[in-house]
Amino acid sequence: MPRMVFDQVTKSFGGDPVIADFSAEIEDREFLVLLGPSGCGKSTMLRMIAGLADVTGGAISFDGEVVNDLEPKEREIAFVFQSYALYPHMTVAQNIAFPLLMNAFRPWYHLPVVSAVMKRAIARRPEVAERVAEVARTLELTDYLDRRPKSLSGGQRQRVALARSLVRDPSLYLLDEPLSNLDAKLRTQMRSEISGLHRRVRKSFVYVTHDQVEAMTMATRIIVLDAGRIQQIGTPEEIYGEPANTFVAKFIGSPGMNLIPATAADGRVTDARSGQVLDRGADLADGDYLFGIRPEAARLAADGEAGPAATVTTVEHLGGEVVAGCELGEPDAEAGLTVDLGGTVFIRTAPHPSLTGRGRVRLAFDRGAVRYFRADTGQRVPATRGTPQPQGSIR
Amino acid sequence: MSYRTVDGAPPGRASAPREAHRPARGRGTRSRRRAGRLLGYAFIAPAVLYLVVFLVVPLLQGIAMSFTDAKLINPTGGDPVGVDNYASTLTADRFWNSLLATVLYTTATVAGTVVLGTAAAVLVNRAFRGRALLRSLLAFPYAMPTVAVALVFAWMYNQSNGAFNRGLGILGIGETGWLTDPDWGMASVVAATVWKVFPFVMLVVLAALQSVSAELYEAARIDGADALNTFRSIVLPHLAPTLRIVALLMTIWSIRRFEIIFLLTGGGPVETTNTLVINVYRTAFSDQNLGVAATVGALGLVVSLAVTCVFLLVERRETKREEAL
Amino acid sequence: MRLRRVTARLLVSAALLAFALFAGFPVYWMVNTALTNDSELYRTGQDWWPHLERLPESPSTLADVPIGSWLLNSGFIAFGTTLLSLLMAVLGAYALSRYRFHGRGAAAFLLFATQMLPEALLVVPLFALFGALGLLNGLIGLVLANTAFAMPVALFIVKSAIDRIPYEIEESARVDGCPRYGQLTHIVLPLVAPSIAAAAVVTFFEGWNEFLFANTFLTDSEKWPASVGLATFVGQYTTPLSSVMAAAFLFSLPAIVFFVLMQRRIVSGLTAGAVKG
Repeated sequence: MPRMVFDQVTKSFGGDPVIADFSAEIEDREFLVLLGPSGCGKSTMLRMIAGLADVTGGAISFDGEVVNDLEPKEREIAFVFQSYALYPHMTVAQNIAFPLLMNAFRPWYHLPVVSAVMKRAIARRPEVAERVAEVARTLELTDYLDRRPKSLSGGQRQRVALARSLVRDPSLYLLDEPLSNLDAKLRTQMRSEISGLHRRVRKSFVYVTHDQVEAMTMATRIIVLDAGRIQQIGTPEEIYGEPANTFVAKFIGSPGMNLIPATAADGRVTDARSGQVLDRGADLADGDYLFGIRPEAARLAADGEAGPAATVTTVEHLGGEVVAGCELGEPDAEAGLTVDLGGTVFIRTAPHPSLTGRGRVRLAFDRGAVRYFRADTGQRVPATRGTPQPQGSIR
Repeated sequence: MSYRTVDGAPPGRASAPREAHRPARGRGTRSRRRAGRLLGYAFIAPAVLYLVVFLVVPLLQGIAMSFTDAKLINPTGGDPVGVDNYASTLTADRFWNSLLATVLYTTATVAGTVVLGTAAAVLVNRAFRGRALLRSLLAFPYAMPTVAVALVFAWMYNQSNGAFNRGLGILGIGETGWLTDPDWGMASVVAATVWKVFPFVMLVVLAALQSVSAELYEAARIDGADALNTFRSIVLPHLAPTLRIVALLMTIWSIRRFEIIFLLTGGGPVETTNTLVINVYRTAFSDQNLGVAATVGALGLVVSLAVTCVFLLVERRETKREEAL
Repeated sequence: MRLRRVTARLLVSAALLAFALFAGFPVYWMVNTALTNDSELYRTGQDWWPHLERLPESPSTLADVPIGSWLLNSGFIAFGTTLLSLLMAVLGAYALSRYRFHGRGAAAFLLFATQMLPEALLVVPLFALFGALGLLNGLIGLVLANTAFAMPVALFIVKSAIDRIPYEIEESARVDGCPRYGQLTHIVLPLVAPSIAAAAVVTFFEGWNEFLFANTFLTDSEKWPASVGLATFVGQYTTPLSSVMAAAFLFSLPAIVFFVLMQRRIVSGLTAGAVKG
């Protein structure tokens, strides 16, 4: 339901800005992921959307209405906490029913005996009981309704937290790193469950994570944050394929995009270290750049094919494919080989006999996948080979 | 994170949203924050006001009273006498004797309770059958009402029929007037106090011991440390902060302690156990001289504040030193 | 090696036994004395082993001591102290733990500092104050005086429990539509219920055991609590000692039982006040 607009939202604790100048427009029913390293302000942003943290400056509006000063409950939201924040003294059923109970609760029910009686009465109302049962069935919690959170496994607790947010049918779901406390296998499973939930309830989701895999697999739109500033807004494909700057290029992907310091002169791009030619005919003004290439867009050159020479420094076998780290140029083997991660170019390719330690290879790059970034600002140089500028990048 | 509140706002900082963004409904951030703060005041007010009325005001009145010659018959009608009370108190032996008694009593009980309590905790921390039962048994004395403790100790200390002298008689040792002999009065009172209070130290130290990770013990064992080494180089450093706090509590409580001394010896024999608090009480209600009692009380307060300050300073320095390591 | 381990174990066992005797003997002796009659005490000498066969007749020995009415008075003082203390302590603990307001640090310091004031120093001015208020010879006055000393302890016990509740749980309740005051009743109170029970035990027995104020303020022996009543027997051997000790045992029993049940929470709360005050 809500179309969210952020207009120059800022947040500071004391004098230190945590979020600066956050502006974005998010359509209804998006699955928005706020992605960034820890401490980038993404959780603070989510808490401001929820109304748990005050907005220092700017405005957040849902469907044109500014919600800055609304209480969380007035915003029709649900919030899934990283720690799940289940109520330890309540059973699963009571946890799920709590939002409905609060909805029906009147201040005078706080009177000692009335409280106990009314709580029971509200829980028994057909609309409450049936709703709880229905939500529990959806998330396969029916067998655990009388248990307390303490006796549940991590995945079950996660589902109770989801159920509690689902029960009220909110128009906006806010999730704060909900999968970070689960083991890897369960994480994959819950990822698809949450995606399925998004498709089923057809509501807006805002999901905070530092895990790019979660972001890439679940999001319909990603906002990459660093140090309280938006780095890029876009779909997962745009973020991956057309990173707006070197931060996004490095942060997304595992390993991230290779960024090779390079110099352009007359359309010829040469490696700044070894002086080898990386690209010809590039539509670039003369100057210093970073030559960006994804590991999977780099491969070993075929016999007779031209390409920069490199020395293999590390090899990591991933089963079907290999990630190899190479150093451009042919350093003197006698001088000793140091693994310098800064200068290492990673390629992801099929296993090949020459990919062994100190192997001499020639590399080839998929020219369509090459991206250039300005060496001084780190911003991407507008694409030259027919890829359109992504929508919704920084205004 | 550390400074987050329920509002999610840093403490004591108000931020006004820009006027242009005032919402159509809902109270403003600022008024909501103020309401939250008012609720905080409302919740803490009863406790604070209560203490002001029943402790702070009487304390100030007591200090004021120390400059008058108020008597028990007419507690509020004393005439101002300036610092006469202080002059006479500080020049009389009685005050200095009772200061000495306080220092003796405090050092002895603190040392006794901390040593016995720590020893008991270390022993009980080991796994053996009936541990829970023994732990509860060792906690009995702390739970027993002081009056009951005084009753049973007075009886055990009884010169001709008490358990102690009868027990010693079997060993061929003659009778001692535990509570009437000036050489033994203080020791007897200290013994009864240590008996009553050591379980508190034991329980606190036990809690601290249980937070030593088992891996640490195992690492020490692999490194070839024997039991005593382990205790000195692993357990004791871990316990140090706890022991300092416990020692502070024991000191404050020893300076404060009234009932068990009052009931067992009433300050005697020959004023050997006449600690400051006993002195105050006797001056007020036996000598009926409230002005002088208040003076001794005020001086006693200065002493206990000074001790507390020294402790807190040491505590701060030690904590800093430990953090620096 | 083996021999050393055996001797070590023997030494530890001996130390444990010594501690058990040390802690248990006075309690044992109280029971033993309660089952011995005066002629044995003063003439033939008290047996080291208790005459358990006299247990059925011991209720009748209590007749020499008006312990019943004393315990009622003690109960009234204790109950009043608990009620009044908890009311203020729970609200104050919640405010100190969850609200930020000016003077919060000062309030916490006041609460901590009052724990260091010797009661005996305040008994004189309180005597004057209560005299002026007409509260001297009554149980209400004792409830008021005891509460001033018991309430801060209870407050720190409850506060340290509230401090352990993660903020997320209350924030979650807020998102679920629970208003500010409701977070206390729906979330916080149920979660700290065990610690409130521990605080109740502490304040109850502070009132139950209290002697100084009762001994000073009460002139009417009808109103004596058990502590003051029993104190009159210390070192006095005119009343049969078996009755006195039986009464003292009756007076101690509830305190011991409740303390043993809740010792862990009580102790952690008592130190929490000192550490974090």
